[in-house]
Amino acid sequence: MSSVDETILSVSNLSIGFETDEGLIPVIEEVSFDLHTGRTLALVGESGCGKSVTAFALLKLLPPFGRIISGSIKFRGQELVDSTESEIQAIRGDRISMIFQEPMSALNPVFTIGSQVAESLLLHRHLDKKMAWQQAVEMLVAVGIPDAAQRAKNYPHQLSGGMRQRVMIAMALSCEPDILIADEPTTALDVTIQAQILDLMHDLQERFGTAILFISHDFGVVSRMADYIAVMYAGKIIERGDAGEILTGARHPYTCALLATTPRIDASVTRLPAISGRVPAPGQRPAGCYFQPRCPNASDHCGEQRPPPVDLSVTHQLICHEVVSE
Amino acid sequence: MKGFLLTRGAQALLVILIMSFVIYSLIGLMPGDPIDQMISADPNMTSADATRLRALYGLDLPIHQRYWNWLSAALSGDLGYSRLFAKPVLEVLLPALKNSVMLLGLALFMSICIAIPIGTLAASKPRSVFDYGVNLFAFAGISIPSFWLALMLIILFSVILGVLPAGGIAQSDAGFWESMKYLILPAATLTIASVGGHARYVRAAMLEVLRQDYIRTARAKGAGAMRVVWRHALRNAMIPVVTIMALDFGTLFSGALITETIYSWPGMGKLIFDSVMGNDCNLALIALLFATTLTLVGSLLADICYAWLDPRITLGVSEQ
Ligand SMILES: Nc1ncnc2c1ncn2[C@@H]1O[C@H](COP(=O)(O)OP(=O)(O)O)[C@@H](O)[C@H]1O
Ligand SMILES: [Mg+2]
Repeated sequence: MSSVDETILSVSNLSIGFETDEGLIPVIEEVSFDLHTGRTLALVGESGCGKSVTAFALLKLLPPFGRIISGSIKFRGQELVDSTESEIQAIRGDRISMIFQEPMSALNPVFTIGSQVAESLLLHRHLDKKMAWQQAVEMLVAVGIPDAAQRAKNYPHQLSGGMRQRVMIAMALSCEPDILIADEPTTALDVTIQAQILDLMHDLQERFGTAILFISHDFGVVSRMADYIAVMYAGKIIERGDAGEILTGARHPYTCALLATTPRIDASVTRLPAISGRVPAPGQRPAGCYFQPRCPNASDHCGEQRPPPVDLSVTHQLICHEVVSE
Repeated sequence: MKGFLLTRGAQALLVILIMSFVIYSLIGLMPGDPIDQMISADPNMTSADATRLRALYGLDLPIHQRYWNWLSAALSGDLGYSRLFAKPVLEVLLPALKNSVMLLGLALFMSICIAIPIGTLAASKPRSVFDYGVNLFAFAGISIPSFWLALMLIILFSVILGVLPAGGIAQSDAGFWESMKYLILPAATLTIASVGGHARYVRAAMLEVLRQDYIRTARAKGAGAMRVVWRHALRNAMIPVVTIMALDFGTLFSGALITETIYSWPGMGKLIFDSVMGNDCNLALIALLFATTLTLVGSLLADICYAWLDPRITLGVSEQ
């Protein structure tokens, strides 16, 4: 078994584009990050920054018009970018699993939840139906579904949103994957259920040693989960670091703005300054720094040149014209 | 389920009752009653004779009273005589019904068996050559008039090749293959006319389902393209399609008139046509009512299939 902190997935300089009538437009630009066994990397950014596209690319589940332009995704030394469909199929759901934002629509309405959890085991473990069902029920117990043996025979519409997300987690973890990609897993749930799901993911991570790529737009949620944080803006990672470095020592104006909009439980002031403007769509990204039109600290050269990388520590890096390393 | 069937059964009976009145009144409005025909057949009949005969048969009563008389007789099992065939109505009707159900059942079955795989394949490779091919084929099937198609098939298979009969039906003592020979051309005509439409329904429903989140979940689980389409998507896509197909059973039924006539297939379509043209009121009335009933049965079947395919639907019964 791999030890905690071993690098299990390494993404470097990944660029993704969408084919359109106007040609190939870049959506993700030169993204790099590593995932470590038993650790959580949070990918944070406003809606439309490219978090989901990045996540889908890891499993090669891009929409038909999506292309990986360049870069590499190395999983345990295996290059996924040029893997064949059958190679990546063997990895999906077995070594790398994914859960999604909408538990309401992510489960197939015409099959029982038991059979949907068992399917991963049928596909990857080649168990017979009875064994797979039994293990599926055990998995449903593990994610805290009460009366799991009976519940397994239910259809998705008979379960609440929180319960469905538990089913999704059971499904994703049934083959004890090395990596779990969680794309906004709690965004659609109300706050108490959100906390329960986060705790559950934490517990299961400790038990199975799973590396988690946790995608969210909400620093409040991220602060509970993350060991490392990467902040994404308009298809680029603009700041990264250990969770503590980002949560208390963020320097990129975008990260600071995002953090400022996050409500804090201990804060005496409840006024939330919103960042004005919106994320530029792919194909409409400005010259120079992509954040510069919305940036409070922007100066003239921000709109002319791409910002340089700045190292604040071995782990803490960002790209910005206005921040200089001491 | 039981409660659902009872409610739907009661509804169906009510609809049939109302339809019987509507059809009865419409036939009553048609010019010419049975006595007029007697007059034209027998020039010696005086108008006094005619009036007496009308009173004798109750034809001088207002329509609702006549309907009531007919209904009481019908409910006690007396459906009357067919004037054209000089036989009790049921004796004429039942063989025709059997022939029609056989023909339409076979045509619908073949249409579904062809439409599901080609519609599904077309949807899983949208804008491919195959997809365009299916589309072309579908429009051809929809737009070719069935009388022309029937004639072409007869010319090819009966006249030129001489392998299949041009029409009619096998003797009642004929073997299975001999009977099938008569069924092939009319069934093929109806199948070709409906399979294109069905394939397009399947394709549209399938395309819609393939965009759903749970399809992405299935792929993320490691299911291959075939498994995603045939296991995860197909059953969901069938939910709307089944409804349309089951309802089609009713429309096919009346739409088969032309095909049945060209092939001299003694089915319901031809029987209704003959009875209306021949002023055979008793027969026309009951035949039309049977057609209505079959349409209702089709929609009931649709609902049952629907509930069977979609666990979210429970047929009027509360869960657990
Ligand atoms: N299926 C798609 N079709 C068209 N545009 C898409 C599609 N998926 C993503 N995009 C575009 O790509 C960009 C990144 O989207 P996404 O990765 O979903 O953002 P995020 O998950 O960070 O909210 C957005 O501008 C979005 O509009
Ligand atoms: Mg997203």
